[in-house]
Amino acid sequence: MIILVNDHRYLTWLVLWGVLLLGCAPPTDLRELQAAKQFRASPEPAAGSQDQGLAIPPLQPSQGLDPGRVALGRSLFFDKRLSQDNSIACATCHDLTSGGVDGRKLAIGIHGQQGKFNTPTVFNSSLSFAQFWDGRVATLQEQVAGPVHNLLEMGSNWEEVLAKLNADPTLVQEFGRAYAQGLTKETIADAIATFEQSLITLNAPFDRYLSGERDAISAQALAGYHLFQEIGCIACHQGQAVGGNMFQEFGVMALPRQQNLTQAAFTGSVKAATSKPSQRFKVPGLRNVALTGPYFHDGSATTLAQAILVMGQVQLGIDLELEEVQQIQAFMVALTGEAPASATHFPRKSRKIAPSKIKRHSHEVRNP
Amino acid sequence: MSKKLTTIGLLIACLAVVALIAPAWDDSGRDLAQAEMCLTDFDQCNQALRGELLAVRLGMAANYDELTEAEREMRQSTVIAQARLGGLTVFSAGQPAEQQLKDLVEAVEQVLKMSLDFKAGHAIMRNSMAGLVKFSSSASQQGLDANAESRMLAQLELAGVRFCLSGSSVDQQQFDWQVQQARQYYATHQNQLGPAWQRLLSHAQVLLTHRARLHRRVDALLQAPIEERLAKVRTAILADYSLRSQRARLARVGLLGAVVLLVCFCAYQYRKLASQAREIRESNHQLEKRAEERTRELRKESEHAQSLATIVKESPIEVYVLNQVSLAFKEANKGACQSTGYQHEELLKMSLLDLEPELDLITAHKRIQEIAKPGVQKVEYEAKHRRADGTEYDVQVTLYAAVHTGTPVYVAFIIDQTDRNRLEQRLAQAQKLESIGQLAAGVAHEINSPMQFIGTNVEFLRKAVKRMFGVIEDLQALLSDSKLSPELQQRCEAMETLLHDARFDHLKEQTPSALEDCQEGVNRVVEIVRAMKQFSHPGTNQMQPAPLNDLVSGAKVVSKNRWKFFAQVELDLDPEVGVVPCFAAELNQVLLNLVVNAADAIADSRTSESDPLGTIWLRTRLLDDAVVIECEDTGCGIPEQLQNRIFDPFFTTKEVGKGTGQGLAISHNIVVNRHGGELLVDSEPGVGTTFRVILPLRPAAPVQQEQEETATAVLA
Repeated sequence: MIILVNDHRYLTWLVLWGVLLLGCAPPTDLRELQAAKQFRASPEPAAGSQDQGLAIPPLQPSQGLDPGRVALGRSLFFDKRLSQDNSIACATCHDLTSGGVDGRKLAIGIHGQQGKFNTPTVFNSSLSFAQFWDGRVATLQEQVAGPVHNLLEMGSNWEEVLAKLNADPTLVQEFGRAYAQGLTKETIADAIATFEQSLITLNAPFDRYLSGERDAISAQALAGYHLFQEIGCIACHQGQAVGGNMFQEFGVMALPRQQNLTQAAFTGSVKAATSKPSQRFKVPGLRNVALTGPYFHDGSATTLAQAILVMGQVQLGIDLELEEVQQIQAFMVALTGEAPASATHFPRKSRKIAPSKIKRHSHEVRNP
Repeated sequence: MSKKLTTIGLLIACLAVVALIAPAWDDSGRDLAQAEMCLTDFDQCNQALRGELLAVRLGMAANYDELTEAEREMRQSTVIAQARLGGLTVFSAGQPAEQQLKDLVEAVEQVLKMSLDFKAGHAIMRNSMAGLVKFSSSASQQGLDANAESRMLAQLELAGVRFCLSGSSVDQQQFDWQVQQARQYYATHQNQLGPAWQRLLSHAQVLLTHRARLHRRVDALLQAPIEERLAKVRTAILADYSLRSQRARLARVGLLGAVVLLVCFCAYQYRKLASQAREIRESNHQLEKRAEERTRELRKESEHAQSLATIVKESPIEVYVLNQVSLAFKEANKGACQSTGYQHEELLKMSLLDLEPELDLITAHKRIQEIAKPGVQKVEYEAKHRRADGTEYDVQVTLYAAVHTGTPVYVAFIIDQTDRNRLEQRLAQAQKLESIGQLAAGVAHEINSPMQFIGTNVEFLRKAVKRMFGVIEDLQALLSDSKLSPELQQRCEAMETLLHDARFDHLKEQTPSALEDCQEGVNRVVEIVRAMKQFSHPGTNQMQPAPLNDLVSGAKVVSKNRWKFFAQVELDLDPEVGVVPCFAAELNQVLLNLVVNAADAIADSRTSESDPLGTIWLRTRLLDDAVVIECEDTGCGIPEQLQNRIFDPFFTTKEVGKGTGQGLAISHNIVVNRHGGELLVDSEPGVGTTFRVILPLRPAAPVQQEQEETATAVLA
């Protein structure tokens, strides 16, 4: 030190080093912190805010979806290789030509096995707050793995699926284009989920009505809408999807008749979201409900009117008159939207899934 | 030293880089920012969820979409927060803060679950509430229309609405009581009352059941410890951050300290090195100087050595380098080649034994084994070596032990003794001459004494004969008178006959001249003896005045025997020369030498007896301060290339045995060294030679150098 003090040169060096080090020192973290605060300080404007006042606002088109991923998801949606014996595709049950469902009471899986639940529609499924009847997963991405692994449905697993799909160089190439990670179980799920997000059925008559087209729905349907609100259906079936944003017990006012089936169906699959093992289900969205029969988780209601009646009795404690049921049904028919372009413009391959094939299966099941 | 410096420099550079990177390493800040972002997001989601819950609860929300969206965002934000914060070390497994994050997530999960329950409950409550109002009015229409009944229904409705709104236990009890009243009433009047009553009661029951549950849920929701737990997590993060930033600061300070120390150290080292370098420079400078001097010396030495080597190489003395065992030649100089007549390459294949055919290796080693004894540096011996052409010559061999190109060797100096032997012969001749000269001087002295009385007696005889012949003539004159008696006449005649027979006249004529000749001869003998005596006078150590002209003429006399057949000697003496201080005896020798040489030169130039005599001029001249003695001859002259060698000792052109080769050398010594004079030669081959002796009249102190010494020195 004495040397340093004695010699100006070293002093200069020291100062230089000090400045250099101090110059390096200013904490970048503080700036980042401020940036982080500023980032959160500007909230995004809520979409469709003009419709916030409505219990059932009109549907909004999905936005910002990667068209490549949508196309990839669509091709996977129709890809039977996702199933163990290459017999079942997503589209096998979620028939995009018939409301995104198979029209059966209960779903059919590989080897013609019967599932335990009625097939929920794939249309507008992205608007649902949770997936599956019991809502055990929150996102479509998580949902994809369910049917693939379900032994009664596709009966496969990711290893198998990946092995099959990796053998398809075109597909691998397309995945390479759409995803940095390439072909993985996550990207498969994401592609399918992205495709499903595009399946929004816009321009339902009721939506047109809401947006000012007063004669878009019939007087009966309008009456049904009023009744829907009046008797309390709307308590649960509200929101864009007319439901799909909450759980509700099945049998608030009265016990449903098929209790045993429900109990059996839930064994081992009910998530902690339901506080006790009860008939608690995701409130399904009623968009396109006219196309998605049979109804309820167990497909116990064959017709829509039947479902409306059961709901009135079980959930609202009301025995609806036939006229009322018809009105409500008319309202529900008015909730049927237009199938999106991604659903109607099928790839050539997918056309092979003939409804007749499905019907043959169902025929076999029904008449063992 | 430079390596050390480089290492230190690298170290500094590394530390500098580390110092530059260190803030970037310190990711606690970024972590904090991320965590803060996460937590803020989380907090906002929580607030939004609460806001939506409140909105739903207050009936401000048209549907549950917003609440559901808030739930979704909350869930997402929780997942993100869990992932982000879980990545922080402070929340990693085993840390005390781990549980706090878990608690937070748990609370959020609880809230989300409750939110779902709330929605379900809320929907039911809403419906039942609506049902209560709706069926209350229907029931009043289907009832008994009693006052009490309508009041009861109104109270039930009011209690229900109040309970719905407040959810308090008081209101619940009130409503419960009202429901029980209505139930009792319905039970009593069941048959009279319409189905609306049943629906009313069931809705009321649902309301009772669900509203209480909903109330609890809302309470639980509102009391959910999310914020406290969030605060705890935040505190944990901040504490961790402050700890880490403190550590980082410490590390930075430490780093700075290390750098400073290093810089100090470097500076110190630099200073030290600088001073060392200065010292080194100085010493280097000195070294350079010394090296320069040394180089100069070495160059001088090497030049010296080279010149020595050249001298040795070119030396006519044979120089050999011998293997100590085999005595084979490892090196030989030019002198060796010249002397032996072998080529250099040939010599290198030979050994000392090849030069001396009679010698074998054992004898040779015996001869030189002396050299192994301590204190003996060289071995000398004489031998006869054989040349390439077979001729033999005498040599003196001097052997030294030495080291040549790293190996011990002998170095042999072999000196050709032929010349020396010849010189020795000449010296012997000279000594013989000298002793003869001394003998001659002794003889001369011995001759001198008889010559004394011979001379005296001859003088006496001459006088006696003269008188005797006078007496005889007188007697004859006495008898030549005619009046003499015949007998007498006869006697006279007989006497005349005797005289005639005795050739008296001839005797009378010749005897005096014979005696005179005798006298002359005696005189000459005396003269010679005297000159010889003078010449062989041993001389003195001091110069003494001597009549120079007498010395010159004496030299002429003494040397007459050498020149009288070939030349005549002309004296041209300057009478003014007079007495000159000199070593007369030695100067005599010089003069004699010069005259003899001149005579020899003339003799050499004469091809036959009939040639005219040569002439030797002996001149003396007096100069201002010197005397010049010239000896000029008409001899053969001295070739120009020999003129500078004539004063060398033992240099002679005369045949062996005749000249000692010392004459002019000694003369030069006498004139130059003894007298401080000069001996000059001026010669034209074929014409003649003139030697000039210049003697100073006031000579400097004479050089005390004996002739013998010179000769000895030369011979050594």
